[in-house]
Amino acid sequence: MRTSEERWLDLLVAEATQGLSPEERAELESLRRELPNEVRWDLEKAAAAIDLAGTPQERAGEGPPPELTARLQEQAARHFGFEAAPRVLPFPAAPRPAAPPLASGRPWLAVAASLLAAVLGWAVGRSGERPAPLPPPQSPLELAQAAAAAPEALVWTFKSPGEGDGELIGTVAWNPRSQAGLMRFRGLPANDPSREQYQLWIFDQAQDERYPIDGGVFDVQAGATEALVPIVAKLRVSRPTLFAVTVEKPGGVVVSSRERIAALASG
Amino acid sequence: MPRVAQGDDPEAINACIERYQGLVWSLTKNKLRDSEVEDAVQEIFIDLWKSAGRFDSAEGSETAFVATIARRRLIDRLRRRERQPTLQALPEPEDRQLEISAPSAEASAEAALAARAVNALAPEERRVVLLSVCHGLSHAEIADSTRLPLGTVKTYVRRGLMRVRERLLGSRPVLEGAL
Repeated sequence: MRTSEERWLDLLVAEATQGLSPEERAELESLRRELPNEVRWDLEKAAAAIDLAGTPQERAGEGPPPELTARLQEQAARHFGFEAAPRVLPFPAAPRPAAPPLASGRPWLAVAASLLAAVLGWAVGRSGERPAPLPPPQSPLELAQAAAAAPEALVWTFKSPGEGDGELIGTVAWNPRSQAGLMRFRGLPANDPSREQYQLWIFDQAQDERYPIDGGVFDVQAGATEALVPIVAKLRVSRPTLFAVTVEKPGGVVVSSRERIAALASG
Repeated sequence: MPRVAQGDDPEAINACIERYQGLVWSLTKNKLRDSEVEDAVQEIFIDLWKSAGRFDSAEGSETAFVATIARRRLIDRLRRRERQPTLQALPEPEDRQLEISAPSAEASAEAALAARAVNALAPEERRVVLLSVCHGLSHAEIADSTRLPLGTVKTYVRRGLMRVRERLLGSRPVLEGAL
């Protein structure tokens, strides 16, 4: 019946381009039982192909904002029910190789290297022990540690913005080549992620200082003696001038009011 | 996409985000107001996670699959809110050749076929198809803005889709005389 076929095709075209009202959808479903269904999918694909061809490619600076990528990743982690790559890993309470004082040199580097050496020593195996497999070296923390340990990494010390703000001690190591880094804190108060989160901002000499680069949000767990926070910048950092940690609402913000600054580090 | 569908491969999922967020962003920006784009992109990726298991490489490229999922959500959003034209500058009615912007070889083939089919349309028809498919205008909105009869708009859009469908399938249309 030409009439119903024509109507069916009209409805399929409408579905693929502008959607259907509930009445139209009911009508389409009734016609679908009588007519080939593959055309429906074909028209959607045709529309998608046209859209792909007709959508201009991203021009420089017009792509998605970097914080959107982070949200998509966190959203995916929630959807699939696996933990997003942990942003903060407390040091274990178990005995570990002694670290040099934080105030000198690159203490975080020594600690990280000691940790890695301990893992390697255990993995390579002592006499009589079966060597255990090395953990896959792809975790964000390990990548950040490797980047931060490289000779070209910048290393700055975090300070509290005001006097008498507690005993915050921290460092940030940033590798300009790999665009990754690592923050380490001791004394940064634990936060309740349901109420507030820490957010890193990277001030870049090449960017307007009103709009620093978002380095992502992170949490400090209660009871953590120290915290390691991998940094993966979604936007290229040319020449960092300042790393700032603020306290923001859960999920972070696009633009910080800078009312609550937890830590600052500069060269 | 099969690895994404398994739901236990964070690397594959993050790679999917990295690969397609730009495309989804562009498809969305072309149709919605700037203030809606970020929310819509997040919704689309949720749909993508839910639909990943239905991807069939025999049916088309992964990029086209993502674009189809995106379009469903965008069409739904456009219908749910009061329709207002969200046009960027309208293309000139005389001529506008589609530019192939697909990011992968597979998608380039599909997009190239679509571009050739649409470019073969008369300029007025091509414009109507682009306004409908790429910019998300309803047929009534297109009729209003181009001053064409609604029936003509519907015919142009249908013809454009069917021509592209033919190219993609390499076969005759299902309905004789549909064009």
